[in-house]
Amino acid sequence: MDNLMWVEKYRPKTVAEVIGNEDAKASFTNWLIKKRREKAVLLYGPAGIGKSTLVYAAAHDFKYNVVEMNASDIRTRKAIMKMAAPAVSLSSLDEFSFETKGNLLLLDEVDGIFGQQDRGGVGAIVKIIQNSRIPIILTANNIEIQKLRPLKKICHLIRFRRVRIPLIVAFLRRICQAENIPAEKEALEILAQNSLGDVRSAINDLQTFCESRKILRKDDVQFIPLRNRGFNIYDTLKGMFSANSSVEAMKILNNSLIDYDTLLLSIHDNLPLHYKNPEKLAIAYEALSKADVFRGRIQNEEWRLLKYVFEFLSQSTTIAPGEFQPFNFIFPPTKRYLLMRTSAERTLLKTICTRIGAKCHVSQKTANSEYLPFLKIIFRKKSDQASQLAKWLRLDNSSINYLKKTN
Amino acid sequence: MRTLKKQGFKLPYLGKEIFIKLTRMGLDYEQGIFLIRDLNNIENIRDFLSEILNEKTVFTQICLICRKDFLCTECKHYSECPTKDLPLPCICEKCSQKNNLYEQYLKLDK
Ligand SMILES: Nc1ncnc2c1ncn2[C@@H]1O[C@H](COP(=O)(O)OP(=O)(O)OP(=O)(O)O)[C@@H](O)[C@H]1O
Ligand SMILES: [Mg+2]
Ligand SMILES: [Zn+2]
Repeated sequence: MDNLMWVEKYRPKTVAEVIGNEDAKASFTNWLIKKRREKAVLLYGPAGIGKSTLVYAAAHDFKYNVVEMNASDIRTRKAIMKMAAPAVSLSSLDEFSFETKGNLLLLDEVDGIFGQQDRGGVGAIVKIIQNSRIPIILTANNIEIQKLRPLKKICHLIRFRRVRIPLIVAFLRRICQAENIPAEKEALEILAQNSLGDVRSAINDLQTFCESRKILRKDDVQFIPLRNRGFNIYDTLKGMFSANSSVEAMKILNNSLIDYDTLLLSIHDNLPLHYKNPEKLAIAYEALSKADVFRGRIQNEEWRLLKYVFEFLSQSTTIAPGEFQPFNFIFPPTKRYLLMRTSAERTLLKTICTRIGAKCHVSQKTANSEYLPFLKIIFRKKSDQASQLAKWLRLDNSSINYLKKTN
Repeated sequence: MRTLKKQGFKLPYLGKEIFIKLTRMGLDYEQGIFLIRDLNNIENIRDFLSEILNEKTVFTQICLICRKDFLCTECKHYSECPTKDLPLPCICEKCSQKNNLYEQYLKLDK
């Protein structure tokens, strides 16, 4: 079946196809194919740069069979032993097979497994590693957490970093070629820069912007909010309210970490504290309501409208330039509760994300932030592809309806 | 600004303690040349060197395609790059222009 999400469709199958981290990749494959000094290796680094992908690609290249356990499978000692012990000891049987070199055990996202409460899990894994005859590979985003110390001691540590921008540009260009979408070089560069080296986000952004476009231009992507860096809510509000012009406020907005829904609500709450003059306040609310109108239209994926949202938001905070008096910002937004999900919805969401996680080998969090938005678009727009996907993910009717209906 | 080559570099005499610290951080020393043994903490090494040499210290970049040395400051992605000035393989501006860059990258013996 044609996997619809580009991160799946273009997931590297071989080690050579995993872009970036050349030194780390070499160090990992060396460890895997040579006589291993450490029984386990811990690949660590930020999300979306190819750690899990590399493990599968290496297994493919060197003919290993991956037995994977991830956060949703295991937390307790018992569960780990039940799953891992057979995989680890089975290796002796497989060694005689020509088809495969045997098993390789992947413990994906170990920081997630033991993040909060550890019920003997780390100890169990240490034991398994010590007695294992097969290669064991662990991955994690953050290895600075206390719980992982015993693992760090016995693993060969390999750090992965964000992928360099020229390589991401090259990769995005090759996807566009495969998809038959001509793309301006600057457009791809903006997307790649914006990803800050997170390949998964870059591909997802590319897909979002290519959706319903025959050609990708620089102007199409210019107003995307920057990921992973920039101003927090306080700096954003302060910067926007104290800006001397709407252009200046726009710059802050472009570099804000806060999603524009939250920002819209927050600006709404804080306008009266900023403008004491009722007439100015009225003008500001007028601009804000226009931003809201355009925000509503974006729900039909008209991303080019984002620049109007930004423009009106920036206008609303700069009606009276030079009059800024510091005040205590109201945050979080007072109206938030209206938008909050019901608990039934949350349960449904969790189920869907677990399914995605299991199939796509990502955490629930990643499933939610990176995959779910695409699924929603597909479910609303492409019913034939949606039903294939639903089958693949084994979604029930309530999940399907949820994906179709919610924005 | 002091630039250090990824392939190996010389440093002025810094004393025994600093030498030991550098080797612990991930550098090796052979016949007068420092070599990078472990990249995991390379930004700490760079920062430590900047501090003791009292001068901004950066590593040169090597282009994966043409193998030439270049500096991050020459790159248009300088301000966005999350690993700037670290000795990690990259692609120079000239090679970035190539339309079949991805295919060339795949063929590399990295
Ligand atoms: N280095 C890369 N080269 C090519 N594609 C990549 C690379 N990194 C990520 N991708 C794309 O992003 C998707 C997710 O990557 P992957 O799951 O390997 O990331 P990860 O580093 O394991 O992230 P996490 O820490 O969230 O588990 C892949 O399916 C692939 O499409
Ligand atoms: Mg992963
Ligand atoms: Zn080059």
